[in-house]
Amino acid sequence: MQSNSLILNNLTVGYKNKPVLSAVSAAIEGSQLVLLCGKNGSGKSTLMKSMLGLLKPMSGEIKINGFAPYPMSIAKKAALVSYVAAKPVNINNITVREIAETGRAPYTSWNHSMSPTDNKIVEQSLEYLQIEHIQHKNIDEVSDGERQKTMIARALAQDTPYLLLDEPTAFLDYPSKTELIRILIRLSKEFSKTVVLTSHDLDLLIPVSDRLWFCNNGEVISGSSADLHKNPSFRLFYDKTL
Amino acid sequence: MHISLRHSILFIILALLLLLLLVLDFITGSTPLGLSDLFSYWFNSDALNDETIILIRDFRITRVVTAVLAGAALALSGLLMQTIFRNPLAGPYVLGISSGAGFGVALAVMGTSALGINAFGTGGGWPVLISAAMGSAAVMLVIIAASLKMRDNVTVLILGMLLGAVVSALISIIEYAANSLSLKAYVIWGMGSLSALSYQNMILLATVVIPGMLLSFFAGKPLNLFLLGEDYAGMSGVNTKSLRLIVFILTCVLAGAVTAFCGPLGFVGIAVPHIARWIFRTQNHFVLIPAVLICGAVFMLVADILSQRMAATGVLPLNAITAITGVPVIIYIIIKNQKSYF
Repeated sequence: MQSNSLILNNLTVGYKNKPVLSAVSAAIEGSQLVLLCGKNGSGKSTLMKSMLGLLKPMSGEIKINGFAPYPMSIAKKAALVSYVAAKPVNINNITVREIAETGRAPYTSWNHSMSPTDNKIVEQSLEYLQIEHIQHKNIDEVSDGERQKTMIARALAQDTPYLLLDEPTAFLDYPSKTELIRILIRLSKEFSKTVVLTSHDLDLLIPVSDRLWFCNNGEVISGSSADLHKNPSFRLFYDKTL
Repeated sequence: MHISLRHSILFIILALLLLLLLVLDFITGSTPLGLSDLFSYWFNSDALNDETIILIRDFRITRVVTAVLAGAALALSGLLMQTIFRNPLAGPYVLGISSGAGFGVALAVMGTSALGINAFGTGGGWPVLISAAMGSAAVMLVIIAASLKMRDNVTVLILGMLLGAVVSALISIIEYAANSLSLKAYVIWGMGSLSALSYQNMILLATVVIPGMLLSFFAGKPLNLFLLGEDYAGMSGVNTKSLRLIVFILTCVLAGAVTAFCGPLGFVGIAVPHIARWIFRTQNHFVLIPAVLICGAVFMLVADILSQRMAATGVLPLNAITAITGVPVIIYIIIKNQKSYF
């Protein structure tokens, strides 16, 4: 299997000629857990959207395993990157398992008929997240933590080398946050996934992240937590957040 | 997502109900007709006189088939809109799509007479149909543009109603300029009716809406993914832009064609998808699409039977019946869905 490489090269991202982050250069090799942090409005989501290929970079380049996410064919992207959004999915009459099954969508035919392999992968994903006992419950009947785990099971079933999560811990209580973070660490180690997430839970995530990308004043400072703690603006942000 | 035994049983029950209502609607009308007349029409037409044959073919069969087509098409367009807008209150009528189609019809029927051109009349085939579809497309474009900017469902809904009001104002200006003959034709069209179609127009309606219905099955998988949200769908291999475009064309054709021929039949498109979800307890479009088609046909047949039978003489306006039966469903949805979608 090819080793992951995520490269941001002299990248400028933003909306309509207004750069939010400029001259960003950073690189991740191999499966790592990357925390994208910074104040609200610092450009975390903009950078996330650009990496998801939902936003065209203004200049510079993003290379995910050698390919730019924008423009990239929808099918190719679905095999490379899976995504978990901040806002929990809350619709009735759809079960935990049905949502996990949608993770197989890039691999099924037009009528989404699941092959034995597809079913096996979905079952393994549900088991891995320890939600197989609630798989037939409706998504609006389970807890916030279980709902978020369902979305991660879905992403796991999509079977991609990259997992990008937008504030996955935002709507969770403390025990659910720690559990979710433990799951993400295991995903990056056991499944060799590169996990990139945005979060404000610095105290929980900084100690376990392999790499930090700190968005501040239109630039991104990249490094290990030890590196960043030497940076005065990061220290200021860190002290204010805690 | 397989079809479960429970769903199969429900489909069989609904199909039987549909069959029963087809027969009931056929024998309902100002001239009494029995089932035996229908059998004679198909198997032994020599036994019937010419008038009865015309009555059966051009009036009853046309009306019953139109009810099935109109109900199914409106319900499907409602389902597609609710999924794409992720808004349980979306539907062709409440979002002003039907008003847009009405504007198209008003232009075709009365606008031509205002300019001194010979009127098409409301039974006027292709010109009225195309005009209605373009009217609904114009309103739909504004709603889509707005829904991309405004994430709040209720705001989009209010915008739809405001657009509907503007379109109604424009229609009343055309009405003011129109001659009395075309004005009367338009007002009667506005009451909604399944009986105004000729046999040929019914065939035309079928040719337009049936391919749309069949096509929608192929959108089942992306529609299922769209329920999770546009970002999830986009990251799971769905081309969200082309899905929006397909749904846009389908809803304009389905709702536009029905409105052109049968008048604005309110609340069918919004209420029926909820009834179908409530019966089948699923969000899977491979189940929901056939379910709304059947439920829509059933709903419209019931409405037609009521409109034919409730008045001592004559026929009640059909859109009065669809509003009286459809609105309670919508009120129930608003009360129930305080926190979650659908």
